[in-house]
Amino acid sequence: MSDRHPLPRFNPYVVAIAAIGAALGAALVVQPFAGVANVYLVFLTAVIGIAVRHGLGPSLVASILSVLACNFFFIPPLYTLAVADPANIVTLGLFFVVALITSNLAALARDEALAARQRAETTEALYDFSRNIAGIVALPDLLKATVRQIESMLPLHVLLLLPDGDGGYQMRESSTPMSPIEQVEANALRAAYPPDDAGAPGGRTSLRLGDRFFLPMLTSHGVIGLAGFSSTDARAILSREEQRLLETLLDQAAVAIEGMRLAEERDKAHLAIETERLRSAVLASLSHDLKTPLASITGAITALRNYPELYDVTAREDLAATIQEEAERLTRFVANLLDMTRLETGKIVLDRQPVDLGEVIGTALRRMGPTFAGDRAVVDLDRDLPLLDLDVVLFEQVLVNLLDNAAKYAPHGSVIAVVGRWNGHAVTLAIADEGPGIAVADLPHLFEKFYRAEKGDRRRAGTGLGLAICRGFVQALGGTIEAANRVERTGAVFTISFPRETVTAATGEVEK
Amino acid sequence: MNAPGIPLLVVDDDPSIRRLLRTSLGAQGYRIWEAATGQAALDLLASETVELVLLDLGLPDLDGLDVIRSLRDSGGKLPIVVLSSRDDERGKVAALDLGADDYVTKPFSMAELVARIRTALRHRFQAQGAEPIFRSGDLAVDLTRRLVTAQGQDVKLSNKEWDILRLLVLNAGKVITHKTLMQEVWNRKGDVQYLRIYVRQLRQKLEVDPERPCYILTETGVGYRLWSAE
Repeated sequence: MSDRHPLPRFNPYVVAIAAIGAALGAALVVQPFAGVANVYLVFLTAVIGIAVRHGLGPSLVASILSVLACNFFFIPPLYTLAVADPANIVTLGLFFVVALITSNLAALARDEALAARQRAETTEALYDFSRNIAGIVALPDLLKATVRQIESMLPLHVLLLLPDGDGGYQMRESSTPMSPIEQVEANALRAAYPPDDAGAPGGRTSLRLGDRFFLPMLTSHGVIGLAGFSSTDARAILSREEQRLLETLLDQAAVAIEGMRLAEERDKAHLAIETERLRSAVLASLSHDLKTPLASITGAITALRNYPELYDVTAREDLAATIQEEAERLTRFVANLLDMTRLETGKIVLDRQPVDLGEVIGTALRRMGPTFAGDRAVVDLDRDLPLLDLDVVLFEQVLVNLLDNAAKYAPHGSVIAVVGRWNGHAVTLAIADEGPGIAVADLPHLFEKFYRAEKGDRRRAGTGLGLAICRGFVQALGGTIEAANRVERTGAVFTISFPRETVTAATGEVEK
Repeated sequence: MNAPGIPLLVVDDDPSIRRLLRTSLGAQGYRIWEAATGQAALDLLASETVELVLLDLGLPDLDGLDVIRSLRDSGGKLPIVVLSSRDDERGKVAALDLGADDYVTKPFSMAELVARIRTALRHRFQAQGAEPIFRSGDLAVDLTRRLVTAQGQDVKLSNKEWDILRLLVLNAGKVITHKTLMQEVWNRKGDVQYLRIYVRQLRQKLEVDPERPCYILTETGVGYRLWSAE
């Protein structure tokens, strides 16, 4: 195992020899006043030290050297390897046995400590990995994390393959040096691991192709993907622990991938239900909101054409006004439907340009026409309100929808306040009416499609799309929109905020 | 005001729109030619004299923009008023950049359409010399002496403000695109944010309520139009 660590600064056997040399020096100092008995203890200390630090081999060498050194330097006749007194032979023999046993025990303890530390590290790394991938929401990130994790823990290059939906596998992620899957390999893999093959429980058989080997990623439902490996060093074979580790990592990744798959399917099912619900809501809304104005228009026109002699100038003007108003209502309705469709199909291409809020408020008010004649809208903007990088067409539509909404729910003749503020961090634009306000229960749903605060006959003319479009557009522009009730009086207030990033960067001087 | 016999060409593939325009503009005194396709329009223009073209951008054969291009490429100055849909700001700008004179957005009111037609015709007839003094409501601009009064008060303008106002006055009633303004006032080197800032300043000097301007009107996503009392 140590051969994979970077080379130690000193060879452990050299260290062992040096240690015994040092012990000899110490023994020579100790012996004159402490006696030969303590000399053995000095050497024994060195041997145990070597065993703890460098393991069994070096400690064996140290033991033998110790016996030889004792004999040579401390047992008469001195400076020879001969032993005069048989008692000393027994002592030397016992010393050797004790040195062997203690160094063996110390080396064992050392190995166990090392192994335990490594296990702890591995466990921690696995735990980190599982926690890490639990937080990942996108499949590509999950695959990347898996590859990185395997690379960091094992001497392997990795590639991951997922079913291509056609009985085969497609490479989705790999370590940089890995070459792509070739057709031959793809065919072999397709044959060896049929995807979602429930008939292979626990069948983790590896497949070797050239210098790479492949392992299936398994869940209880079968093969969810494949992992291919090539060794980064000369050794082609993994140790048993390494194999177990690799399988554990693959299992974790497999479970995470499957979880993601299931979530995806759930979302799809949810989306299908949502789409269905939306479709029926659209139909209901269409039939109501298209038919009502069409009925008015048809009625007014047939009246004018069939009985022209019945109506005086005032009555004609009244009928004509009805036609115009209802046609305008239809126009708004169709525009809303188009906007919603653009939002839902993601077909909005932003054309960002510096926008003067005062200017776009002005155009929105002008588009509202006679509804906002006179002093009905009170505009109050900070004088230093900066330009904002917005799509002016989208933003104007947001304002029109909010003003329309305010006009619809607030009593006739009441004031609608448009207040713009800049605090150095964000620009906020509040549109406040003097209507009845919003029921607390409605607040969370206000921006949902086809949600209307008043149901049934009391509901106002409208599509139930206006506020949903507002939220969609504002979010697309990088802002937020909130609804609340006014604090100082009754009434609703809608507040749009744009962060500092939306503010147009000033690039020069303006002459006054 | 009647327009005795001024010939207009209506190019739109929708028969009901053509019928509406034929009837209502006919009642205003215009003589109406009709074409349902771009090619038919070009053919007709080659043989007949008309004073103005009302052009729908969404035609079945040629793009309306192609019709404008081929009319302008041959050097014609025939006024063109484009009929476009609400969401098509890019189309409007492209048409104006190619040389269309103005646009109305479908669905349009007849008053608005007639005003656009009159403005386009008037600018054609006046192409040589503009009136030296422009008056609209409480606003008066003397182009030769560089004097501006608003609500009876003299107004001092910076150079850039004057350049913008002058261009709007010269084209009173017509839409001027951002691009044209930038080209004329800044020699293309400007930044659109300065246009916004100077227009804001101009409004503060000229308008009673700068947030609800009566003179310098914004055509969202396209440009500006100076309101002209005519």
